[in-house]
Amino acid sequence: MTKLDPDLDDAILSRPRLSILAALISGEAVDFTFLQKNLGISDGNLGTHLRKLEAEKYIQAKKSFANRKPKTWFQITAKGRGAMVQLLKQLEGILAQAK
Amino acid sequence: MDEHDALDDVRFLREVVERTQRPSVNDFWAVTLGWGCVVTVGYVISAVLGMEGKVVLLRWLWPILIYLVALPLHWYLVRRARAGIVERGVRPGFRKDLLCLWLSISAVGLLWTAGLGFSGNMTSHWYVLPFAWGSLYVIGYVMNGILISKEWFWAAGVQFASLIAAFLAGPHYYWLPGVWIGGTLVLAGLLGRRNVRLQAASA
Repeated sequence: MTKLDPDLDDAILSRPRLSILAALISGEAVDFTFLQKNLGISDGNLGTHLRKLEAEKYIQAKKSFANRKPKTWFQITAKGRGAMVQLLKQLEGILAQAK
Repeated sequence: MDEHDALDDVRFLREVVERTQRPSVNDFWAVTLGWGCVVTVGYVISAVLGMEGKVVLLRWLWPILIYLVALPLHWYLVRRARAGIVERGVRPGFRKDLLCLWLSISAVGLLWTAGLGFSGNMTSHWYVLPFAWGSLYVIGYVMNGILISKEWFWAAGVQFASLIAAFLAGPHYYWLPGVWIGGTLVLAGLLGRRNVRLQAASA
Protein backbone atom coordinates (compact mmCIF):
# COMPACT_ATOMS: atom_id res chain seq x y z
CA MET A 1 0.00 0.00 0.00
CA THR A 2 1.20 3.47 -0.92
CA LYS A 3 0.37 6.74 0.79
CA LEU A 4 -2.21 8.71 -1.16
CA ASP A 5 -0.71 11.53 -3.23
CA PRO A 6 -2.40 14.81 -2.09
CA ASP A 7 -2.57 16.00 -5.72
CA LEU A 8 -4.69 13.08 -6.88
CA ASP A 9 -8.04 14.20 -8.27
CA ASP A 10 -10.69 13.34 -5.69
CA ALA A 11 -13.48 13.69 -8.24
CA ILE A 12 -12.38 10.56 -10.07
CA LEU A 13 -10.61 8.79 -7.24
CA SER A 14 -13.38 6.34 -6.55
CA ARG A 15 -13.88 2.94 -8.15
CA PRO A 16 -17.28 3.69 -9.72
CA ARG A 17 -16.22 7.06 -11.16
CA LEU A 18 -12.91 5.68 -12.40
CA SER A 19 -14.69 2.79 -14.05
CA ILE A 20 -17.22 5.14 -15.71
CA LEU A 21 -14.40 7.21 -17.22
CA ALA A 22 -12.51 4.06 -18.25
CA ALA A 23 -15.64 2.78 -20.00
CA LEU A 24 -16.01 6.09 -21.85
CA ILE A 25 -12.33 6.57 -22.70
CA SER A 26 -12.74 5.34 -26.31
CA GLY A 27 -14.82 8.47 -26.95
CA GLU A 28 -18.03 6.70 -27.96
CA ALA A 29 -21.29 7.80 -26.38
CA VAL A 30 -23.02 5.07 -24.37
CA ASP A 31 -26.32 4.91 -22.50
CA PHE A 32 -27.16 4.33 -18.85
CA THR A 33 -28.06 0.65 -19.31
CA PHE A 34 -24.74 -0.08 -21.04
CA LEU A 35 -22.80 1.38 -18.11
CA GLN A 36 -24.98 -0.36 -15.55
CA LYS A 37 -24.64 -3.74 -17.26
CA ASN A 38 -20.89 -3.55 -17.79
CA LEU A 39 -19.86 -1.90 -14.53
CA GLY A 40 -22.24 -3.68 -12.20
CA ILE A 41 -23.23 -0.50 -10.33
CA SER A 42 -26.74 -0.10 -8.97
CA ASP A 43 -29.20 2.41 -10.53
CA GLY A 44 -29.07 5.00 -7.78
CA ASN A 45 -25.31 4.81 -7.31
CA LEU A 46 -24.60 5.09 -11.01
CA GLY A 47 -26.88 8.12 -11.32
CA THR A 48 -25.13 9.85 -8.41
CA HIS A 49 -21.64 9.20 -9.81
CA LEU A 50 -22.67 10.30 -13.30
CA ARG A 51 -24.08 13.56 -11.90
CA LYS A 52 -20.85 14.16 -9.97
CA LEU A 53 -18.73 13.63 -13.11
CA GLU A 54 -21.07 15.82 -15.13
CA ALA A 55 -20.83 18.59 -12.51
CA GLU A 56 -17.03 18.45 -12.84
CA LYS A 57 -17.50 18.62 -16.66
CA TYR A 58 -15.61 15.32 -17.05
CA ILE A 59 -18.52 13.83 -18.98
CA GLN A 60 -21.41 15.31 -20.93
CA ALA A 61 -24.95 13.99 -21.18
CA LYS A 62 -27.03 14.39 -24.31
CA LYS A 63 -30.65 13.41 -24.72
CA SER A 64 -31.96 12.12 -28.01
CA PHE A 65 -34.47 9.71 -29.49
CA ALA A 66 -33.29 6.27 -30.61
CA ASN A 67 -35.82 3.94 -32.20
CA ARG A 68 -38.53 6.39 -31.03
CA LYS A 69 -37.47 6.02 -27.38
CA PRO A 70 -35.83 8.82 -25.36
CA LYS A 71 -32.24 8.01 -24.43
CA THR A 72 -29.52 9.79 -22.52
CA TRP A 73 -26.05 9.35 -23.95
CA PHE A 74 -22.92 9.88 -21.87
CA GLN A 75 -19.62 10.85 -23.46
CA ILE A 76 -16.24 11.78 -22.01
CA THR A 77 -15.10 15.41 -22.46
CA ALA A 78 -11.58 16.67 -23.22
CA LYS A 79 -11.33 17.74 -19.57
CA GLY A 80 -12.35 14.25 -18.42
CA ARG A 81 -9.85 12.61 -20.74
CA GLY A 82 -7.13 14.96 -19.47
CA ALA A 83 -8.00 14.15 -15.84
CA MET A 84 -7.89 10.42 -16.60
CA VAL A 85 -4.50 10.67 -18.35
CA GLN A 86 -3.15 12.76 -15.46
CA LEU A 87 -4.37 10.20 -12.91
CA LEU A 88 -2.83 7.31 -14.86
CA LYS A 89 0.50 9.15 -14.95
CA GLN A 90 0.29 9.68 -11.19
CA LEU A 91 -0.53 5.98 -10.66
CA GLU A 92 2.45 5.02 -12.83
CA GLY A 93 4.59 7.35 -10.72
CA ILE A 94 3.37 5.70 -7.53
CA LEU A 95 4.16 2.25 -8.97
CA ALA A 96 7.63 3.41 -10.09
CA GLN A 97 8.30 4.73 -6.56
CA ALA A 98 7.13 1.44 -5.07
CA LYS A 99 9.73 -0.41 -7.19
CA MET B 1 -9.98 6.87 1.19
CA ASP B 2 -6.58 7.39 2.85
CA GLU B 3 -4.59 4.65 1.19
CA HIS B 4 -4.63 3.51 -2.36
CA ASP B 5 -3.40 0.37 -4.01
CA ALA B 6 -2.21 1.79 -7.33
CA LEU B 7 -1.40 -1.54 -8.93
CA ASP B 8 -4.84 -2.86 -8.09
CA ASP B 9 -6.39 0.26 -9.65
CA VAL B 10 -4.41 -0.14 -12.87
CA ARG B 11 -5.53 -3.80 -13.14
CA PHE B 12 -9.10 -2.81 -12.42
CA LEU B 13 -9.05 -0.10 -15.09
CA ARG B 14 -7.63 -2.51 -17.65
CA GLU B 15 -10.46 -4.95 -16.94
CA VAL B 16 -13.10 -2.25 -17.31
CA VAL B 17 -11.60 -1.02 -20.60
CA GLU B 18 -11.42 -4.60 -21.96
CA ARG B 19 -15.05 -5.22 -20.99
CA THR B 20 -16.47 -2.01 -22.40
CA GLN B 21 -14.48 -1.40 -25.58
CA ARG B 22 -16.29 -2.04 -28.83
CA PRO B 23 -14.96 -5.24 -30.43
CA SER B 24 -13.00 -4.71 -33.65
CA VAL B 25 -15.62 -6.28 -35.92
CA ASN B 26 -17.48 -4.71 -38.81
CA ASP B 27 -21.05 -4.16 -37.64
CA PHE B 28 -21.75 -2.74 -41.11
CA TRP B 29 -20.84 -5.99 -42.92
CA ALA B 30 -24.25 -6.02 -44.65
CA VAL B 31 -23.44 -2.65 -46.26
CA THR B 32 -20.16 -4.07 -47.60
CA LEU B 33 -21.96 -7.17 -48.88
CA GLY B 34 -24.65 -5.01 -50.50
CA TRP B 35 -22.09 -2.92 -52.41
CA GLY B 36 -20.22 -6.12 -53.37
CA CYS B 37 -23.35 -7.66 -54.89
CA VAL B 38 -24.30 -4.48 -56.77
CA VAL B 39 -20.77 -3.99 -58.17
CA THR B 40 -20.49 -7.67 -59.19
CA VAL B 41 -23.91 -7.65 -60.88
CA GLY B 42 -22.94 -4.34 -62.56
CA TYR B 43 -19.77 -5.84 -64.02
CA VAL B 44 -21.61 -8.93 -65.26
CA ILE B 45 -24.30 -6.80 -66.97
CA SER B 46 -21.57 -4.51 -68.39
CA ALA B 47 -19.79 -7.53 -69.86
CA VAL B 48 -23.00 -8.88 -71.42
CA LEU B 49 -23.98 -5.45 -72.84
CA GLY B 50 -20.41 -4.90 -74.07
CA MET B 51 -20.34 -8.25 -75.87
CA GLU B 52 -23.68 -7.49 -77.51
CA GLY B 53 -22.45 -4.01 -78.50
CA LYS B 54 -25.23 -2.13 -76.64
CA VAL B 55 -23.05 0.86 -75.77
CA VAL B 56 -25.98 3.27 -75.26
CA LEU B 57 -27.39 1.07 -72.49
CA LEU B 58 -23.90 0.71 -70.94
CA ARG B 59 -23.72 4.48 -70.45
CA TRP B 60 -26.86 4.40 -68.26
CA LEU B 61 -26.12 1.19 -66.39
CA TRP B 62 -23.79 2.48 -63.64
CA PRO B 63 -25.69 5.69 -62.80
CA ILE B 64 -28.90 3.63 -62.54
CA LEU B 65 -27.23 0.92 -60.44
CA ILE B 66 -25.56 3.42 -58.10
CA TYR B 67 -28.35 5.98 -57.65
CA LEU B 68 -31.42 3.74 -57.85
CA VAL B 69 -30.10 0.50 -56.31
CA ALA B 70 -26.82 0.86 -54.38
CA LEU B 71 -27.46 4.13 -52.53
CA PRO B 72 -31.03 3.34 -51.33
CA LEU B 73 -29.81 -0.14 -50.28
CA HIS B 74 -26.82 1.48 -48.53
CA TRP B 75 -29.12 3.90 -46.68
CA TYR B 76 -31.43 1.08 -45.55
CA LEU B 77 -28.61 -1.27 -44.42
CA VAL B 78 -26.72 1.49 -42.57
CA ARG B 79 -29.95 2.42 -40.74
CA ARG B 80 -30.48 -1.22 -39.74
CA ALA B 81 -26.87 -1.70 -38.58
CA ARG B 82 -26.97 1.56 -36.58
CA ALA B 83 -30.23 0.47 -34.90
CA GLY B 84 -28.49 -2.78 -33.85
CA ILE B 85 -25.57 -0.87 -32.29
CA VAL B 86 -27.94 1.55 -30.50
CA GLU B 87 -29.82 -1.48 -29.14
CA ARG B 88 -26.55 -2.52 -27.41
CA GLY B 89 -26.40 0.90 -25.73
CA VAL B 90 -23.67 2.50 -27.86
CA ARG B 91 -24.26 5.51 -30.11
CA PRO B 92 -22.33 4.90 -33.33
CA GLY B 93 -20.07 7.85 -33.98
CA PHE B 94 -19.43 9.46 -37.34
CA ARG B 95 -16.22 7.95 -38.79
CA LYS B 96 -14.50 11.01 -40.20
CA ASP B 97 -11.32 8.97 -40.79
CA LEU B 98 -13.13 6.50 -43.06
CA LEU B 99 -14.92 9.27 -44.93
CA CYS B 100 -11.61 11.07 -45.63
CA LEU B 101 -9.96 7.81 -46.68
CA TRP B 102 -12.61 6.84 -49.25
CA LEU B 103 -13.12 10.40 -50.47
CA SER B 104 -9.36 10.61 -51.16
CA ILE B 105 -9.39 7.25 -52.95
CA SER B 106 -12.39 8.27 -55.06
CA ALA B 107 -10.80 11.66 -55.86
CA VAL B 108 -7.54 10.04 -57.06
CA GLY B 109 -9.46 7.43 -59.08
CA LEU B 110 -11.68 10.09 -60.68
CA LEU B 111 -8.62 12.21 -61.53
CA TRP B 112 -7.03 9.23 -63.29
CA THR B 113 -10.30 8.53 -65.10
CA ALA B 114 -10.64 12.18 -66.16
CA GLY B 115 -6.96 12.26 -67.22
CA LEU B 116 -7.43 9.25 -69.46
CA GLY B 117 -10.61 10.74 -70.88
CA PHE B 118 -9.18 14.20 -71.57
CA SER B 119 -6.01 12.77 -73.11
CA GLY B 120 -8.20 10.94 -75.63
CA ASN B 121 -6.88 7.51 -74.65
CA MET B 122 -10.08 6.17 -73.10
CA THR B 123 -11.10 4.04 -76.09
CA SER B 124 -7.67 2.56 -76.76
CA HIS B 125 -6.53 2.16 -73.14
CA TRP B 126 -9.81 1.64 -71.23
CA TYR B 127 -8.37 -1.47 -69.53
CA VAL B 128 -5.92 0.71 -67.54
CA LEU B 129 -8.84 2.13 -65.54
CA PRO B 130 -10.01 -1.08 -63.80
CA PHE B 131 -6.32 -1.78 -63.05
CA ALA B 132 -5.86 1.70 -61.54
CA TRP B 133 -9.08 1.50 -59.50
CA GLY B 134 -8.14 -2.04 -58.40
CA SER B 135 -4.77 -0.80 -57.07
CA LEU B 136 -6.44 2.09 -55.23
CA TYR B 137 -8.84 -0.36 -53.61
CA VAL B 138 -5.91 -2.40 -52.24
CA ILE B 139 -4.82 0.71 -50.32
CA GLY B 140 -8.40 1.31 -49.14
CA TYR B 141 -8.82 -2.28 -47.99
CA VAL B 142 -5.53 -2.25 -46.05
CA MET B 143 -6.61 0.98 -44.33
CA ASN B 144 -10.04 -0.55 -43.58
CA GLY B 145 -8.17 -3.49 -42.03
CA ILE B 146 -6.34 -1.08 -39.74
CA LEU B 147 -9.32 1.17 -38.98
CA ILE B 148 -12.26 -1.29 -38.88
CA SER B 149 -11.59 -5.02 -38.73
CA LYS B 150 -9.10 -7.63 -39.80
CA GLU B 151 -11.13 -9.39 -42.52
CA TRP B 152 -10.33 -6.44 -44.80
CA PHE B 153 -6.74 -7.69 -45.00
CA TRP B 154 -8.07 -10.82 -46.73
CA ALA B 155 -9.92 -8.66 -49.25
CA ALA B 156 -6.72 -6.61 -49.77
CA GLY B 157 -4.71 -9.83 -50.27
CA VAL B 158 -7.13 -11.20 -52.90
CA GLN B 159 -7.30 -7.83 -54.66
CA PHE B 160 -3.50 -7.56 -54.65
CA ALA B 161 -3.17 -11.13 -56.01
CA SER B 162 -5.52 -10.22 -58.88
CA LEU B 163 -3.34 -7.15 -59.62
CA ILE B 164 -0.19 -9.31 -59.77
CA ALA B 165 -1.97 -11.92 -61.92
CA ALA B 166 -3.19 -9.21 -64.33
CA PHE B 167 0.24 -7.57 -64.44
CA LEU B 168 1.94 -10.90 -65.25
CA ALA B 169 -0.70 -11.78 -67.85
CA GLY B 170 -0.21 -8.47 -69.68
CA PRO B 171 -2.33 -5.44 -70.69
CA HIS B 172 -5.08 -7.59 -72.20
CA TYR B 173 -5.93 -8.73 -68.67
CA TYR B 174 -5.71 -5.36 -66.91
CA TRP B 175 -9.51 -5.35 -66.58
CA LEU B 176 -9.31 -8.32 -64.19
CA PRO B 177 -8.65 -6.42 -60.88
CA GLY B 178 -11.62 -4.13 -61.61
CA VAL B 179 -13.91 -7.15 -61.89
CA TRP B 180 -12.52 -8.40 -58.59
CA ILE B 181 -13.53 -5.26 -56.68
CA GLY B 182 -17.08 -6.61 -56.36
CA GLY B 183 -15.81 -10.08 -55.44
CA THR B 184 -13.50 -8.76 -52.72
CA LEU B 185 -16.31 -6.63 -51.27
CA VAL B 186 -18.51 -9.74 -51.13
CA LEU B 187 -15.63 -11.61 -49.45
CA ALA B 188 -15.12 -8.83 -46.87
CA GLY B 189 -18.87 -8.72 -46.21
CA LEU B 190 -19.18 -12.49 -45.69
CA LEU B 191 -16.07 -12.66 -43.49
CA GLY B 192 -17.35 -9.65 -41.55
CA ARG B 193 -20.67 -11.43 -40.94
CA ARG B 194 -18.79 -14.52 -39.73
CA ASN B 195 -16.58 -12.46 -37.37
CA VAL B 196 -19.58 -10.59 -35.91
CA ARG B 197 -21.31 -13.93 -35.21
CA LEU B 198 -18.16 -15.49 -33.70
CA GLN B 199 -17.68 -12.45 -31.48
CA ALA B 200 -21.33 -12.54 -30.38
CA ALA B 201 -21.03 -16.26 -29.57
CA SER B 202 -17.87 -15.76 -27.51
CA ALA B 203 -19.29 -12.75 -25.59
